[in-house]
Amino acid sequence: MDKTTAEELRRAGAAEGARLNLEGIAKRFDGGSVAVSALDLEALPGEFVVLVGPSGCGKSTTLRMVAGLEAPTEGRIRIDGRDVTALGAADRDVAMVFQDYALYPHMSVARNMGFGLRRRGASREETRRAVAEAARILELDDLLDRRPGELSGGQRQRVAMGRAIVRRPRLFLFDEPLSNLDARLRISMRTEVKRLHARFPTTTLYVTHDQTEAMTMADRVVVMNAGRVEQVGTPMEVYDRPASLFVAGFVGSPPMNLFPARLEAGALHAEGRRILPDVPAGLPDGPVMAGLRPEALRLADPGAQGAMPARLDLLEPLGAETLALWTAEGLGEVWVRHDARARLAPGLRAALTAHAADLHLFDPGTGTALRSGAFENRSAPLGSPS
Amino acid sequence: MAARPLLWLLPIALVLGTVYVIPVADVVRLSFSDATLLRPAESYGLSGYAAMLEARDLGVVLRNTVVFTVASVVGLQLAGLLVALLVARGDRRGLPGMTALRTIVLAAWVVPGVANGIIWQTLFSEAPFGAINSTLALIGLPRVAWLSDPEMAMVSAVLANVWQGTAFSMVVFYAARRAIDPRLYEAAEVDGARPFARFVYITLPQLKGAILVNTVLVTIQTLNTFDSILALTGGGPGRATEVLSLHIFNRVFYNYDLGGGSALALVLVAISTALTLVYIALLGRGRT
Ligand SMILES: Nc1ncnc2c1ncn2[C@@H]1O[C@H](COP(=O)(O)OP(=O)(O)O)[C@@H](O)[C@H]1O
Ligand SMILES: [Mg+2]
Repeated sequence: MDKTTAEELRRAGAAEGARLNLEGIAKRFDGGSVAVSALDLEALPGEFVVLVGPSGCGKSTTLRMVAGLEAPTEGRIRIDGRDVTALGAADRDVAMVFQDYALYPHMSVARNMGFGLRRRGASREETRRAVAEAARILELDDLLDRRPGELSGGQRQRVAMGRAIVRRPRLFLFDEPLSNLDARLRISMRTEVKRLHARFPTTTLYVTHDQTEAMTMADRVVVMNAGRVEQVGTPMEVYDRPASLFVAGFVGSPPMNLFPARLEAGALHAEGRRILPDVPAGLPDGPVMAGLRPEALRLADPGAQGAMPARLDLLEPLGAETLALWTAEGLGEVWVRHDARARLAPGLRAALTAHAADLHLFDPGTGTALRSGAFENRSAPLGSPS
Repeated sequence: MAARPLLWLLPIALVLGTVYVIPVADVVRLSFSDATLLRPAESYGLSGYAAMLEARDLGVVLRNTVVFTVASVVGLQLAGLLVALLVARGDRRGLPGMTALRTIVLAAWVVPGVANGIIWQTLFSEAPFGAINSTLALIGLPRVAWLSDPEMAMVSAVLANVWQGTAFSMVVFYAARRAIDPRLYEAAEVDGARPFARFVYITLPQLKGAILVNTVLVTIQTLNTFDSILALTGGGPGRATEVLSLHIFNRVFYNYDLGGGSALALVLVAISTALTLVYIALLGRGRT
């Protein structure tokens, strides 16, 4: 739990958001499909919480229940401790940015942005001032008289954000707000959203299917799968200690290399090789799923002790670093992160090695993490032949 | 790209030309003639138009036309909008009976105008067995002179027309309402808009195009309606419900005045054509 960020903010007097509690909420649709089951979540005042997971895992449904657009079939939703489960969207002080923006096509940008304030009883003059202020922050000043139809995708996105921030709500909801933008714009808007949040630290629930977006933006990440929470933690916690195979495979780009293996008398075996002499965990012997991050593997002398012979299949030079897909004895296909200057070419035969400390182990049946890379004992190399 | 559109349009142009242009041209010819139903034109001149302008009853007829048309158009829009929104809402909530409701409304539409007039004449009947009046009497309300009072007769004519025409408006509004992005309502709800505000700020502006188009179409339709009034009141009592289209019918078929009737028919054609141009302009604007 990363309470530090939010608590620091609160101590600094900056946090102005609500506390959000989801208590065992579930959503079963009329057709019988279960979109969300028994979900618990707390967002502290001012916290930026990202819900991330593959498409169809129930992120939008969760967000829509918080907004009041969808009624949960079970559980309670509290905002600042107050039970709002039965309230409609109009009665919850939340603002939402929709994936397709949902701007009012028949209203000018200014009216789009001011609509929520007007409906909540702000005077014309107050509204005009608040809209002008939000427009200045988002650099929309010149567009206030235009209709949404006359704006580019990026501009529409900013208007949608403007419509949300202009109200200074206690809770912000974002449903994949950047997914309709091209890659460049997406990255710059990512920064912009973070900057806005630093400026107005309102409690935020942000939905995305893009794990990079989740990692870069979140105070806390909630990884969802098939209507359930797989793990909640800071981006680094989720990356370093994935609680399940699903999280290990979902977070990180490229994702963690996973391969079936066996524990025998404290050593890790795969494909008949002893890959790791002593795994520092009191685990019983038996089959496991083993995982190594691409940066946990590196090139080794073919003759070195514990080096696993490997062939390079594919190169993805990214400039600052190079990703390579290797086929290694004992590991199968693995992604490895190399220095950009490493001299590599497809077909190259070499050897790979890793540290025992970086090893992740999962129960092959349930997928639960048995042991996460512990970052101590970095000395023992992997892969000594058995 | 479309290299020779004329070639493809030629067949339809020929059919339309034969069916519409030739009769209209003939009406133009007749309007300048002294033809009656009983004998062909013998001399040509402006006498038909002159008689039209002099006719004492033309003012009354035009006034009736305006009252009937405006009241009908307003009524048709409101009734059509109401039913369309009810049905769309029922659809969204998966309520049963929406198809039945739509079918009933559409059933009124397929009834021929004359039959509609007769049905309403029976309902409005002031005889002891008149359906509406006996119902009113049953709940202790006074009877109404639906057809014998000149002003009530106009109300009755409008009611019958609205009943029949609602389906058309409903179909137009229903389609337009279904085309509104449901996200707009969700965004408005999150923005704090209550149902009435959502109707005023989302539904109405989003239906603006449909309302404009429907106004023009329904106006043209209503201007050309005479069959249901003919069967309901015959234009009476007196001339209380005689609208322009019915007046033309009466002039030609009761007074045998083919020349004068044709002149008036051309006035109607001119009004309808002007409205059609407005309609085309609206469609063109909607496309850009
Ligand atoms: N209105 C609905 N009726 C029935 N099923 C729905 C509805 N909305 C979403 N679902 C289903 O619920 C699941 C979760 O959907 P959603 O929350 O939109 O996922 P996500 O946003 O994570 O992609 C999906 O399987 C989807 O098909
Ligand atoms: Mg979604």
